[in-house]
Amino acid sequence: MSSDTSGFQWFGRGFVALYALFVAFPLYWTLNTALKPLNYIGTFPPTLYPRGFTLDSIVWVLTNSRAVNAITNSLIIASGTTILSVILGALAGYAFSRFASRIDPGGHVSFWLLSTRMFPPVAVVLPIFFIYGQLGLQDTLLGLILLYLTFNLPLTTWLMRDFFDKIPVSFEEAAYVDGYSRFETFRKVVFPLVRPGLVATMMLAWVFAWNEFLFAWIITGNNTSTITTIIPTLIESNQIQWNRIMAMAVVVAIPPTLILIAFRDNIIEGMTLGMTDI
Amino acid sequence: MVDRFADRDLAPYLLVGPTIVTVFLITIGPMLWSLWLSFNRWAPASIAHQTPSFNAGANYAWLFSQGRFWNSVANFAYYGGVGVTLQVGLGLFLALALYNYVDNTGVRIAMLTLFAVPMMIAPLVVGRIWQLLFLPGGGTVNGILGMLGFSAVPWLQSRWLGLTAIMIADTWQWVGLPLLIIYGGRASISDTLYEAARVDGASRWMQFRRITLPQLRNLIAIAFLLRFMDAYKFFDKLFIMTNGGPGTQTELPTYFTYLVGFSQFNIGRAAALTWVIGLGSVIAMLLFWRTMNTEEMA
Repeated sequence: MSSDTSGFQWFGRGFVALYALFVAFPLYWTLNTALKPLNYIGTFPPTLYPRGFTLDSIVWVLTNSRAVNAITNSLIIASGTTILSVILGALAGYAFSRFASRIDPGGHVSFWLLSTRMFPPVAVVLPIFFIYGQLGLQDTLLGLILLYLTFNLPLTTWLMRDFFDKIPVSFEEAAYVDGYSRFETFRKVVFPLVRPGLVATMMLAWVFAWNEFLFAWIITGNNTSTITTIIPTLIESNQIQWNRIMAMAVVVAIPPTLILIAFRDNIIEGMTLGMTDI
Repeated sequence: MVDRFADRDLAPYLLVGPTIVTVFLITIGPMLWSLWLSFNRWAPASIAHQTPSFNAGANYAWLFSQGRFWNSVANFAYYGGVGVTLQVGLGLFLALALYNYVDNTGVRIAMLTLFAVPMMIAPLVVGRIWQLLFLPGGGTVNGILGMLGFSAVPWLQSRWLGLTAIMIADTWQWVGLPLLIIYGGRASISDTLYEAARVDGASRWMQFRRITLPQLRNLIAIAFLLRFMDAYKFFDKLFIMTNGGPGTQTELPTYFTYLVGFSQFNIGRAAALTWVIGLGSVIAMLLFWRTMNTEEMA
């Protein structure tokens, strides 16, 4: 927008470019390491390109039974918790958006809901660990699906309220005047308008569950290891298998990155809790 | 709004009910139980303390007497204070530079997307990636420093270097959040404000000081608050990059709690720790909001 070509402009541009390089480099390095054989990883100075290029590590991740199990478990857990938290959160978010004066005067309830995210997760998982022991939920997929609601349900409720707030109430009132029932109004008027927001909320909830580590590390055992819990343990014969670890990193980073690229605008709006529209 | 349904209509309560009940069952309820546990001696791994037995405030007295606890608090002051300020400051600078000096829309969107990519990757995985980069000896960062003629730095091998390395990794991952929030805010400031200022002959610095900063103030505060909350919960990168080491030197309060709870299995003490940390975060938030509000009134 500013039309002057002073030193400021070039300094600003240079800084952005330099920072972009700083952001891109570790991403490139992950790929670079995943595509090298192990003996080229410890070399000094490091090789800036995948010397001795090989897909062995990627193939290992996609065929090793532990890695494949972990990926499957993470897919089930993330998807299960997403479905639950988006259904519950959309219902609650709709109510907070439309009936705030009745169920939440002063906004205390919705703020209280969001504030549960402020407490450190370790505070939640400590009692849950013993409660799960009593209920037989330790080391089960269902246990983690339910536990992930602790951070995803406040998020989906908050975001869905925000997305519903952007749909004018007059649309619904017009539908009622036209003789639509409450359910028809939701299905034919509200739902199509809120769908992009709903998809973004789903994707974010899914990504947060997919990426979670602490709860999984404490609640799961050998039966239900997830993608994040096997990464600290990929060490064989006293040597850290950096190429396999980075191949795993590449594989687990691909779904969230694709989600970001595909739903960029709504994801960014969701990540900033509805504050940024680009 | 005009509500066409009767006041006794149950629908709103039925819609909110399941969420409130679920959050109570999985968050509030267990945490209230842990509040009770924090006043008990309970260490399931030792034969003497199989079941919880009331010991008044002994757990709290214990933790405040621990040098290790205060050490972790000091680490948090450094990591949280410097790290979050760095992230918000960098985010502010990058957002404004991107908005003001990069004219091509395609380039802008590509940059915003690139800066958002690290946020989508699991923090644990990011920790692993940076651990590889910071590896002593053959690490990539030291390799690059070597090419530039600097001597190798023993990253992850001492308290402040370890915390700094973790801070760099965390900044790499999260600078996008303040950046996106502030960028969104800057994009919504009307251009007419700046045009009027230029007509009045205001310098670039004056425009920043008198228009940009006041307009963005609340968003900067929110970005700061969001990142501070995350710093409070910080765990994954510390776990993977230094494991609290060397020794216990780089521990943060949450990590210390995790070790007391799940490695020493001293549940009463760990519960006391979680409540001290939790109340600490609430007090920090309240202080922050009060400072914000008084400044606004002044």
